[in-house]
Amino acid sequence: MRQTRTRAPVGCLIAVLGLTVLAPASALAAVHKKPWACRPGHAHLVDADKQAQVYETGRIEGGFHAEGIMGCVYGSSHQFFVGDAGPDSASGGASSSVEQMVGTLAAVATSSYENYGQVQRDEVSVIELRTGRLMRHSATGPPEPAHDYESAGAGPVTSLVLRPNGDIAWIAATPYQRLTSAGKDQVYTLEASGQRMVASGNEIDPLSLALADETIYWTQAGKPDSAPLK
Amino acid sequence: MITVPLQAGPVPLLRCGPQIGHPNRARLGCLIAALGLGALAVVASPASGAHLAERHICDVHRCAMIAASRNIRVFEASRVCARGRCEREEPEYRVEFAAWLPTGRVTELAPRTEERGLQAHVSEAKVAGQYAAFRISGLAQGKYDEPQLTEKVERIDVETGLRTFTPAFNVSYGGGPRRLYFAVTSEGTVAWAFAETLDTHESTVDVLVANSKITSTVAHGPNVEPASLALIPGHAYWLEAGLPRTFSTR
Repeated sequence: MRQTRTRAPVGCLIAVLGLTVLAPASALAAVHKKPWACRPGHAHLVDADKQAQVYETGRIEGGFHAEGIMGCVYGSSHQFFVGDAGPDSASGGASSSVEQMVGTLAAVATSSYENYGQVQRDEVSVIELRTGRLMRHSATGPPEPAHDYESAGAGPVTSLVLRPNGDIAWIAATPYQRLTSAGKDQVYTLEASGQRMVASGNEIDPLSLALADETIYWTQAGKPDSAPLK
Repeated sequence: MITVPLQAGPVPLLRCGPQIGHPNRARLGCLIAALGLGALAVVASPASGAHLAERHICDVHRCAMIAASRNIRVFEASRVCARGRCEREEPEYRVEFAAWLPTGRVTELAPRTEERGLQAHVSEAKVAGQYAAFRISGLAQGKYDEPQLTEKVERIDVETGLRTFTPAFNVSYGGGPRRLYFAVTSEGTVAWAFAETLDTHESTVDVLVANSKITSTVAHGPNVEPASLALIPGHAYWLEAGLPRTFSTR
């Protein structure tokens, strides 16, 4: 609440006057702090919100080569792994993108491949940057991951939304090789109770997913559609 | 309107905090003091030509973050601080700024204007891309000189400092916390939805499309659910009588 005190303007006047006239800028600069950063100085910032940051770490050899994505919460020295920054080689590797941040949560979509692309996996996860805990993790849809490292997931994520409680929804675009009767695009949700597909078809706008409170929206065949996300 | 670049150096804040419905002499005194100190700062500071930066503000005031993204930080400066210590008393003024982090450019979000009235403050801000959208509550003079509480959502291009003004809407007294929901996209489209006075029970969805200065009302009526507003590049969504509606912002 903003309160008024009659005497305060006098204090305001004296204090600001003193600072303005007497204190040189250089002296004041000495007390400046950076309370809104937690990443190492050499790391490349990927995304940030009011409470946390995610950033790329890597090596500097003739330029910056990202190796991993890490995250931290302001005021904390703890850093946690969020995802892989890029493929290791032509034969295999993983690449993650931070799709959304809400508070101290980061939602990440990861695509990986092996055997020169013969095996592909697409996954989504939600990481709590305060503790590093993996709150949600799943393939982007069927087929689910198998022990023999066959392809997993319905395809790469084209858009994703994140709720403050860690629930997520996304649209997966299925590659031609993995097409099923569900169609080219599917809308999924992942809540504490599990994963479900809420829409599928060939006419879903892959970039149309939006979130308002407990409702997700998307556009299919030019018309808006919605589903609860609770 | 005060927009950076300004002189570097200690920065007295030039706007007293809002006391909606309680204008008083204390606030006027603080305003006069701050204005005088602003002029003094310009005279007293060395003419370095440097831009006002977040550091200059937060060196001498307590700063609190309101919203942030990779490239933007919106923060509020209030109490006077020196050598790591801040005044204990409640601040007499609060000023909100948006900093474009790649260049350090800082712009005051809601400089006092006649349109906004003597007292105005930013209560909420959202950022995307190079844009910030923020909710302003202000006290203006009504039709019969009575104080009238107004609210609005404005957009600012934080990289350039370019501001888009929008129409204000009146707030009825005694209605409790106002339900206002808004969002901004990385391309600069802003949408907001709010419930009108308690008498009518009607709600409105307004959209300010990117690169436009004209606000459009895209939905209005008793069945519009303000809390259901969602905005992404290309689409604004909301629920009307439980059914999804959309407006193309392209």
